[in-house]
Amino acid sequence: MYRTADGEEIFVVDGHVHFWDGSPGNQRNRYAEGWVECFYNYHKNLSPAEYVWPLEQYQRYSESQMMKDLFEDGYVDVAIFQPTYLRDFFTNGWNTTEQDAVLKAKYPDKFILNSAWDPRDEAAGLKEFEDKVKRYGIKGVKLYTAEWKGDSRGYKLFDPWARKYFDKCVELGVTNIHIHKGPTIWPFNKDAFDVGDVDDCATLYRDAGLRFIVEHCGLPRVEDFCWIAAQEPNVYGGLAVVMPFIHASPHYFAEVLAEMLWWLGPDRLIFSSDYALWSPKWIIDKFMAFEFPQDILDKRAVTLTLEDKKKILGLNAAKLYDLPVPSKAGFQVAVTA
Amino acid sequence: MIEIETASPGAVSEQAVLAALRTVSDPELDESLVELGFVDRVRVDGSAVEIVLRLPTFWCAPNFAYLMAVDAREAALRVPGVRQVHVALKDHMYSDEITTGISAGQKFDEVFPGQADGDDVSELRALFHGKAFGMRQEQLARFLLDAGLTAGEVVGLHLEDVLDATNASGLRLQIGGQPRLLRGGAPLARAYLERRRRVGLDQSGRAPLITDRDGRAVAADELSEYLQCGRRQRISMTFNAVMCKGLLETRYDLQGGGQRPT
Repeated sequence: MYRTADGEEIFVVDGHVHFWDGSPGNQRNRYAEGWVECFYNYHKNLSPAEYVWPLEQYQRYSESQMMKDLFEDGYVDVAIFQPTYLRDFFTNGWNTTEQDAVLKAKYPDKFILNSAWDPRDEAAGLKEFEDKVKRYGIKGVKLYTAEWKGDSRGYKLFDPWARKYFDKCVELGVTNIHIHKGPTIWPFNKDAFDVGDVDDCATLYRDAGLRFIVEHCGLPRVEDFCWIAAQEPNVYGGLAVVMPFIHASPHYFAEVLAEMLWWLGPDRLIFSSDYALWSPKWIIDKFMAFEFPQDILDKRAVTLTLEDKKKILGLNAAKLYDLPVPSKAGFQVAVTA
Repeated sequence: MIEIETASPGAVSEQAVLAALRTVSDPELDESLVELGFVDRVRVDGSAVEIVLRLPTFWCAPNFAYLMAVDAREAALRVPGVRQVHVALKDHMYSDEITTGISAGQKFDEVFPGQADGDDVSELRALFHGKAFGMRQEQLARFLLDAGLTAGEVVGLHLEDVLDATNASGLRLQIGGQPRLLRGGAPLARAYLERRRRVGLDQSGRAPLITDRDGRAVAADELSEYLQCGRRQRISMTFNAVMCKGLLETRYDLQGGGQRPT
C-alpha cells in the first residue's frame, strides 16, 4: 500500500516479478552465462546507483530479500509471478512455476502464481499444463515466444499447437495471457518479438474472454503495438522495462507513457517492476511524483490524474485477477474487456 | 576510446579507415558505429586492415550484427590502398560464426541456413533505412511547423525549395516564392535529405519534400496524423538507442562513452 502525503492509500499490484536461479551451479552453458550477464547489465544500467546489487546477489537472491524489497519497502500488496523456463540454458529452469510455487504456498495472499506453456511441447505439454492449472489454481500464463528449444529459435502465437493451448486456457478459465514482446534478450530472428501474432489471437479469443497483456508494450516495436492495442479492446500494455526509464531517461519515459495513454487509455496499462531486474520502491516513488512536461502535452493531449495512477499501479491488475481491493483504496474501474 | 594501431605506417591511414566506418550505421539506431562505440579496434598493417567490433549484449540479433559487419568490411575496402579487410566480432553468442562468415564473404543465410527472413540481410537493411527515413522526416517536419510554417506550406515544399542546407546560420528555403532563413534547421534537413536519397525516391526538383515511403505527397489535413506515425518510429528507435548505449557503457565500463538522451 502506498500512502500519499494526504494520507490516501493506493493499492499496488506488481504485475511482473521473478524468483530466479541464475547461480553458476544452475547454468548449463555459455548462453546461460550470457543471459545472466545481459540481465545484470539491464539492472545496472537503469537502476539508481544505490539500488545496484553485486552480481552474486543478483544471480540468486534470497526469499527474505525479495519479501523485503516488494512488500516491506516496495509498497506492493500483491505480486504476480511470471515464469520463464529456459531449460535449454538452466538445468532447473530460470524461473519456473514450481520454484515460484514454494513462495506462493508460504505467502498465499501476497503472490499470484502464473504458469507458462510452449506449443512446441505439443500434447504432452498440454496435459502437463492442465495438471498445473488444477494443482495451483492458475489464472494466467506468461508466454515467451523467443525461447530456444533444441534447434528451434522461437514460435508464433498462431502456430496450430498454440491454438490448442489457447483453447485449453479458455476451457480452464486461464484468462490472462501475458506475452513477452519486448527487448531483454534478443531473439535469433527479428520477427520472434514481432507483435503481429498478438493481433490475430486477440481478435480470435476476444469473445471467449482471453485478455492479452503485452509485456514491455512491444518495445522496441511500439508503433506496431499501439496500432494493435487501438484495434483490440482485450489487449493491455504491461509496463515492465518501460517503468525504470522514469529514472534513467525521464523525458523519454514521459513520451512513451503519453503514447500509451493516448492509444490505450489509463484502464489498460499494468504497472510492473520486473523484479529483480528493478526494485519497485524507487519506481513507485518516482511515478507518484511524476507529471508530464509541457512540451509533451503540447504534442499529445493526454492527462494523468491520481485516479489514473491508481488504476495503473494496481486497480487494473486487480480487475484482471479478481483481487479484493481494500475499500479505502478502491474505486470503480471501467470494464474494458 | 577506440584503440588504433599502425604496424607499418605508410600506405593506408587508420584515420581513413575510421572515416570510412563513420559512414556505416546501426540500422536500428540510425547512428554511426563509430559514434556508438561499436568499433573496438582498428589495426592497419600495410594494405591489410583488421577491425574488431563489439556490441551492447551477448544476444544482439545476429542478423543486425551480420549486416553491420558486412557494411564495415565494404566501407573499409573502399578506402584507397586497402586490399584486405578482416572484421571480427567479439563477445557475442555467434562471434566465431559471424567472424568466419564475413571473412569468407558469405551471405547471412549461408552462415545461418534457414534463419534469415529473406535471402540476405539486404531486406532488413532496406526496412530499417525506411524507418530511419520516417523518423528523420518527422523531425524535420516538426521543426518546420515549430518555426511557424503552416501544414499547407510544409507539404507544399519541393526538393528545389531547399535552397541551402549546408549553411551554419540556418536552413534556407523558398516558401511561396519567397526565400526564408530558418535558424537551426540545416542539420535536420541534411540528415533527412541524405536518408531520402538512400531509400530511392524521386530526386527531381519538383518532387515533394515530405512524402511517404512510396513517394506520395501528404495532404495538409493529413500531416498531423502522418507525423504521429513517424513519432512512434522515433520512440522505438530512441528506446533502442537508450538501451544499447547504456548497455554498452555498462558492459565495457565506459565512462560517458555514449551520450544518453534525457
